Amino acid sequence: MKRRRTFLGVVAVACIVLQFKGDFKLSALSAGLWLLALALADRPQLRRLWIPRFWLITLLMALGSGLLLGKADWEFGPVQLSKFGLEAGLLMVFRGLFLFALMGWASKLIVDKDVQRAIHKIGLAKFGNALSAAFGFIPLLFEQVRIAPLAGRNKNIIPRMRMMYGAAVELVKHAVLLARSLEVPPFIAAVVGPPGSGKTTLVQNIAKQLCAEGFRMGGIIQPAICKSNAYQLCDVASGELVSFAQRTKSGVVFEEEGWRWARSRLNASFASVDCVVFDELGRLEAKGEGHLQGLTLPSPSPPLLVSVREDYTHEISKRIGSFALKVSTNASPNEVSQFIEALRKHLHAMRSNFSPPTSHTKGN
Amino acid sequence: MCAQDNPNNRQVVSSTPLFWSTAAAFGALWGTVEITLGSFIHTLRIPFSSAILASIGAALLIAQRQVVPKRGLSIATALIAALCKSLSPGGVILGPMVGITVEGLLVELALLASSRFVVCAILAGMLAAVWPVFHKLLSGFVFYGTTAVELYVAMLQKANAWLGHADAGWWVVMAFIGIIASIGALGGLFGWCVGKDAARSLGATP
Repeated sequence: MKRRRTFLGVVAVACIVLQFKGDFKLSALSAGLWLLALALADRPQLRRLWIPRFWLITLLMALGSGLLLGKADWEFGPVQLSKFGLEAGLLMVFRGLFLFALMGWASKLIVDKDVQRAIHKIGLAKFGNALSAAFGFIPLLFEQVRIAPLAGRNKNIIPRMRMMYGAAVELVKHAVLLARSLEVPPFIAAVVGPPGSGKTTLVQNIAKQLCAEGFRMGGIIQPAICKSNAYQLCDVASGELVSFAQRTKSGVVFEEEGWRWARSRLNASFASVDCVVFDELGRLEAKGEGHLQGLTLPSPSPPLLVSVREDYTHEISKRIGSFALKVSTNASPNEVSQFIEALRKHLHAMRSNFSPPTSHTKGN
Repeated sequence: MCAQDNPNNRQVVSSTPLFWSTAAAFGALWGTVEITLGSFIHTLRIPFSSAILASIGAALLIAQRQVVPKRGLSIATALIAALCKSLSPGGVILGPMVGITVEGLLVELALLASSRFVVCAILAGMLAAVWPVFHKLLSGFVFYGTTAVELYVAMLQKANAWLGHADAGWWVVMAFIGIIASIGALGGLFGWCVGKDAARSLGATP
């Protein structure tokens, strides 16, 4: 994929250079070269060139230049054509063909995931985040935009205009509420405890209980059982297990494939569940590594149920935001019940609220 | 919100600041309008469709600035809307994407003096609506080179000759631009009023 992109990039530069002179033969060569490169490396782009209206206008302009520009060299009855004008017209056709095909390829390049990743890398993280959020908003806004012009279905023009105006005000208000919903930090319920104290078991039990009550749970759990020195990760939604680390004499060796799997499952969960489980946030996550490395949360994020190593609570909360609810593994059953009840209440509130969650919005 | 690779970053997951969250929401709204209403208007072949769409975009930006009066917001919103336009199922979208970005830039320039002043809002609408005409001329120049400009001038001279007056062609062009500017002015005024009402209703400082 990258090789093809590089190849097309080099050919594109060469073709642009060929266009500089403004000669219609070189321009035709450039267009031909580019089409050949596309046929070799990105054939679907050729199909995008089928836009009859654009080509009709281009041909009419080429013919027009033959009629209007330069001295008449040929006569076809009442029609007089100039060689200079026709050559200029042909130059337009070939340049148009090349640039149109080039723009189609370039516009595909802009929306490429690598480019979006590069936006983050060059320090435009806030812009990248806003863009991700905007992509998420589009399905929410589709219905609103379609309804807005229909709001004015009335025979009389003045009431109709009034209704349309009202619909426009509502649309702007809706967008502002959506924007405010992004300002709300994620709701985090944390189970805190030292290693081996039963954090995962407690989180697993809470997830099961909430799932039984009809809430869609997702995310990743790291089961406490360590089979043949291998650590596993479990997808909360499907129960699928994947090996992600091995204990050796020299320490724990992590498998990159396991992290990647976890990241993809977490990203899928954010888009489809009521509550996302993050298990075993500890030393790595405190440094921004492990589960938190390269992770993209949607805006707004669903509530998170996390289990955190006691000694890293401060660092983790600095990274993912403060904990709205917190319970220790040595808490009494009553305290645990209160924790679950508060989380349940929040999940219910999230469900009953329309998107965005207006009850948690901040003022300007 | 995202996790960042730099371990020295204090917050890995943070809430989006108001500036960018507003840009995201309005950018998505403008992008949605471009994708849905845009294709609808273009399919119906309504006259001045580009100007109408540009006016709607300008109205959105002006309304947005009545609720969140932050400088630079129009450009940020336009950039996001332009990238949202990339979701459009059509073929080549680079041209419209550039168009949306420039419209945002023009609105930003017009609102530099004051985003709450109605005259600035009307000017912003006019500039945004007139831009598609120049965009077409400019893209003609980019696509076809100087020949396109020569062709336009030759066509104007022919029109002058047909109409029997030296400047008649120019007057037709001016009238055409005048109509488009009026559509933009209406869009600007509409956006200003809608924004004021939305701000009042939301309890923001209008």
